[in-house]
Amino acid sequence: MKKFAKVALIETKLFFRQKIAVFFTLLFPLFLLFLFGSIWGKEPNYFSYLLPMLVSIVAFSNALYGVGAVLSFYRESGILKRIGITPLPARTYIYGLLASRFLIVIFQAVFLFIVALIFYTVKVKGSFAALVIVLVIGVLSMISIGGIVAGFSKTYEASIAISNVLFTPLSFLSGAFIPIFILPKFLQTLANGSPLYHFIKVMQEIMVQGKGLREELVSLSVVVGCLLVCALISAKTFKLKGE
Amino acid sequence: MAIITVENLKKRYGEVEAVKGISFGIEDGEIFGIVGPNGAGKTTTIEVMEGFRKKDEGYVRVGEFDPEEGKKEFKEIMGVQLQKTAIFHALKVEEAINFFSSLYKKTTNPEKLLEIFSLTEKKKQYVKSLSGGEHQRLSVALAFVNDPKILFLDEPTTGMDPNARRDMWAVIEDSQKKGKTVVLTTHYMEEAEVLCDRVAIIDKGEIIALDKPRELIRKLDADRKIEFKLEERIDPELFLKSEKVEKIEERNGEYIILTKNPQPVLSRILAVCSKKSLELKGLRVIDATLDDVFVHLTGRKME
Repeated sequence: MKKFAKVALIETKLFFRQKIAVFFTLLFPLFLLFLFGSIWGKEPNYFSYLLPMLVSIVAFSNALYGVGAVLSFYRESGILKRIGITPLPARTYIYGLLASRFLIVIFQAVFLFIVALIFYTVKVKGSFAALVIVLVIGVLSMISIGGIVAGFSKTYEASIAISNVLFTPLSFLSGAFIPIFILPKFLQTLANGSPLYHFIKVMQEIMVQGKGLREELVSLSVVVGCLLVCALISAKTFKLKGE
Repeated sequence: MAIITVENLKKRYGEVEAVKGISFGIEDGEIFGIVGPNGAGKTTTIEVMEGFRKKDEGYVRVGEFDPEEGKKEFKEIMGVQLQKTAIFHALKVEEAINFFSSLYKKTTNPEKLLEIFSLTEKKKQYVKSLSGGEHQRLSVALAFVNDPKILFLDEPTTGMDPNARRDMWAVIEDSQKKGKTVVLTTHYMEEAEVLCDRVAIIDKGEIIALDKPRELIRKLDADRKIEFKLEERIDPELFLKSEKVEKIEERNGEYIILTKNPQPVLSRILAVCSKKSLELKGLRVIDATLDDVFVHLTGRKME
């Protein structure tokens, strides 16, 4: 457990030394918050719509580029091989990395929430506890998609390509950038299968309409289903040793 | 007492038979070299001993451990430098040392380790900013963080300049004095000759010779080379009167004599020079090397 914490710590340190990652995970969402806030900030409930979108995009991009691509890089460059020689199991290292990314995203979610609270008004009509539960499950679900990326890509380049292929359509269909209802019918159907879309939808409905977890069983099962399936597949496909 | 036993080790990658049933034992406290050209099977052999690679066939024991089981207790007592070690680029040198130290029960003083490997001045630098030689020193230093009983070093001096290479030899010899067993691979025959108590010369997945470097050279029974310079040119035939000479060459006053028995030939050279009052310059006797042993055994030069 002590070693696990050490890994999470060192991975967090490594994360903050990557300028691009820090920019896209921490600064860019903050910039968007103020940009959109200055335009539509006066609308009632605006931040109850915006925050879930920002948080889910942060979680999703972090999972793809901060987990999937990083793990592929570690494997390809032999870092996991080097870890595997020490008494620390390489799997423990990977879980430490996941924990670090999980905490960074949760931290960013809380941070954005507090900034919005200070400069604008944020309403949470439903249960705050339910919101936190959904946030945790949703972030884990996103991270598990990163595991799939690492599991299926043989090289770092491939992991970036797969990440790009996943990021564009899934974020497009998430409702984060354009509302789903203006899309053609078949795209709406596709969106209904997207965990990102349901993650955002549940958080928004808890915050705006005050819905409870029981009313969100369908969306929740998509998010949890994604988590279980991806975690299982990535555990099976991810090989510690490269070719 | 053998601390490492390898018997009939076989490993293949697809169609390629990388290691074809090799056997050897390594004594406790020995510096054991595995030498040979690139692609001979050195890395495969050492990685099987580290437990990193699974063998196809054979029996391997390191201490009381089967490396393949990858037991924690085994990993605690061994130090490994991989041929191509990747270290987190965004860590500083001292952070890397401290992090890897923190993964072991037994550790050694990080400051001292930095000093031994001449990295003290670089300790605040990021790993990515290190030169090739510095990176190599760090990756060997990481093999020492747990004060291991057994060291596996895969081409530890590759990419180092001659001075750094000599420093590294001193560090490795010193670790032997502290009771460690060292297994190293190299394709520098000179390194094996200077550093190793015994070497296994491996070629195309097979051990073609295994002994003390000096024994291997002695058994070769090769010609030794006598070189010298003279201000005035004299008839090389004068030296040929000694029957032990195999071959003699002269070029612009530089003489090269090949002989199995240098002593009478040297006497002859000295006698001739005194008689003719010639000044003898740059006289040296060059022994055969492990390179010559390899050429003799395989009929080709080491790449």
